[in-house]
Amino acid sequence: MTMNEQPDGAESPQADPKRYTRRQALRWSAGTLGALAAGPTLLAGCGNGSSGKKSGGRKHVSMWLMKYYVPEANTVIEKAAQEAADKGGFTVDIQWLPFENSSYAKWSAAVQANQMPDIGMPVGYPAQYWAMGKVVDVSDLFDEIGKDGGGWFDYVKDDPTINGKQWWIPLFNETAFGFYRKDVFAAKGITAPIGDLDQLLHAAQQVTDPAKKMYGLGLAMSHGDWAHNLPPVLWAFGASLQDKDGRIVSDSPEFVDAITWYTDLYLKYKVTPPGAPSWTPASNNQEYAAGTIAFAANTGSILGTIRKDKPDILKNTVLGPWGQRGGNGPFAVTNLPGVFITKTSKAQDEAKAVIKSIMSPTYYKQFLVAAQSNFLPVLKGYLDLPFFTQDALNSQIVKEILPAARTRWWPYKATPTFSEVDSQVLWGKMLQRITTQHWSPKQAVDEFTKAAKDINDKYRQLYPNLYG
Amino acid sequence: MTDESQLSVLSSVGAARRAHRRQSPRRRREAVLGYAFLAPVTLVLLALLGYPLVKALIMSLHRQYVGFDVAPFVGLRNYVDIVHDPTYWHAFQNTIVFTVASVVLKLGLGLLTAIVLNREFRGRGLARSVVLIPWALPTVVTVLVWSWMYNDSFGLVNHLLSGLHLAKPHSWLGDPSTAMPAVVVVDVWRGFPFFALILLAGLQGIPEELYEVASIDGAGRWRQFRYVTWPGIATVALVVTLLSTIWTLNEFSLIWVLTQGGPGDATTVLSVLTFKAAFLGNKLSYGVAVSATLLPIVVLLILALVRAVNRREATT
Repeated sequence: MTMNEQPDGAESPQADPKRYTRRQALRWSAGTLGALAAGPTLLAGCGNGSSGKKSGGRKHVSMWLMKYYVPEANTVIEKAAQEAADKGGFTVDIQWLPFENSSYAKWSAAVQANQMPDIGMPVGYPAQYWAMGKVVDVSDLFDEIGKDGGGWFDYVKDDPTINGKQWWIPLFNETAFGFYRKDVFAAKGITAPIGDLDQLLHAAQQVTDPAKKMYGLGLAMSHGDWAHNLPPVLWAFGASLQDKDGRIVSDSPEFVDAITWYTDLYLKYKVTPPGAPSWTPASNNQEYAAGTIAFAANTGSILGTIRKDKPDILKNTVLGPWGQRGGNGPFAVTNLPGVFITKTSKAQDEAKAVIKSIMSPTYYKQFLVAAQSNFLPVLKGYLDLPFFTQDALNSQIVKEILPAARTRWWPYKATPTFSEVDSQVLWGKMLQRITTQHWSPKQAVDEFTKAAKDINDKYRQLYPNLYG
Repeated sequence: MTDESQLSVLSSVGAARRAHRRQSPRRRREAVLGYAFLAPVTLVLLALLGYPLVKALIMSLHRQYVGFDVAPFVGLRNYVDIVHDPTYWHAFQNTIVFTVASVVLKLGLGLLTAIVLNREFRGRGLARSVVLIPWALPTVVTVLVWSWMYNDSFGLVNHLLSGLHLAKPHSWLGDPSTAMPAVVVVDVWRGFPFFALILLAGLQGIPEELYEVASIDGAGRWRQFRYVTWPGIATVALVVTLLSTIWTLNEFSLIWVLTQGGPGDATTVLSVLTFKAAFLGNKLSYGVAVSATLLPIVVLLILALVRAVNRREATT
């Protein structure tokens, strides 16, 4: 090898200074690649969140809403939001989140990273996001919407009120109640609806016939209990998660009795389908529509499904609240999904305009009708719509079931503790422990109580005035 | 060694050093160029993996709840809690069971498939393509299909078993005794084509003459496999097994979509426990600490993998 030869056989760069050598090309490539790789990373690190950002010079409102099973109702919300955007000269987009734990996880990640949308409807109650300091006061908007809609129902007013101010806007009332196959029960000489829990168990035993793929009760024994089948049973046994002062009281003997009764439906009496411990939130809808269960408790979403696809089952369905026990009840359980505006939003006025448009008389009426009994109004001015007065089943829901309804957080209020326990469907693990892992009800209740109390302690330290 | 020879050696060493010094500017340029090429990847890795990793480890030493600005330093408290948490140890056990069962079955099935696909038969090309389908499908699609097949009321598995009078309808994912095997079956179904593909490539690298010689020497099928086939693919098998072990140890989406770690915590592995603790239970630092306990195992596996790859490069 001579002094001018390169070890790898390449020619010296000095041989022709104008020539663009491989090494120069490689150097340039390496530098460029380095800059390209590092640039976006550094820029991303400097980002300050996605909410309220401008799009083409106009402000933008981003929304995360739960995707309900009635697409027509979701469409009305989209139209209302778009109209507000068109009028206000801003842009809007809605991201529909599925009814799954993954949506809760998405919220957790967004909150931790301060990358929240402008408007949010979380899984469960927004109170925990209030406690984290992530939501803004919407008392003025709450008052305006109330005036336009004939006033809020009293139980709805309590929901978003903390320290005398409103922090989110309840969008609708989603009450869960019982759906009975009157033909199946009648075949055994039983008249449905059944107004007593022990009679319900007795009736379920009579109609259960695994060989014919028929089970008496379609109740999730898992995290899939998003319809909140458990609270009405707890209340009927004189138990509840929290007492009137917000203390966690799930370690009471009544609570253990209720859990024992509930899980015995699966373990001892075998009146629920064998897959109940792995049910998802949609399972009871699917099983009822498939005709494999004689009773399910859910929101009007079942009604929407069978109205559309299963007229024979609709014809043989009667509705009713959960039965009473020992003078407690009957009960139905109400959820009040609400939307809040995040503190990080740079388009808070625009976000208020969007919510106002959704709750305006024009769109809210359309929304309730499109929802096909899935949702009931939170404002007094809408219960006398022909949709609720002229349809026999809707009328029954309003007249007979709503008076028995209690909000999920009854007998106290929607505290951050309740919000977190509820969002995580924490009792699903308790039910699975008993039904599949042979834990005693007491053991499982103790584990659940400890988890709930840990959450309570976390919030109680920060907001002692919220709890009695 | 004589003085003369010692001098000779010293003289050679000195010459080499001088030569080295003469070449060092060029070498330095070479080194700079090498680092320049490595820089983009290094920067990306540092930004996307190194920074979060360090931040996560720091977070695991605090009590950080989701959404809370205050996160007091608690030292190793989260790790102490983990040691005393029966849920963690159950998840750890599940992780080992899931990983070992899945990888062993994937290796066995993959090897068998590779051997079959290495033989001459009509439609071999089509068979090779079809075998890849489970691996090529998106995980979520695969898992949702299996989830529906396992459904206790409407699923294909129960329909077939009860139709053939082999078993009564069973809740495969709802019964803790069958949930883990059911999850393993799905992971094996999805993962064995990868083993088959890589092992098939290894099999094709074994010269046909070796089999002919073995055959002339009177070796049967089993002895041919033992003394020709297996030594020829052993390193490839080791590499693919280590890779799959690392992936399977970290498997999350498949289990999450199928069972969410349930029923109870029957299929909760460490990745699922991390997710549950951090993003559903809001205990961010505890979830990170759970995840960090897997780190030493993964690092050991990666070191073993690098060693295996180096050994393979040396032999080829």
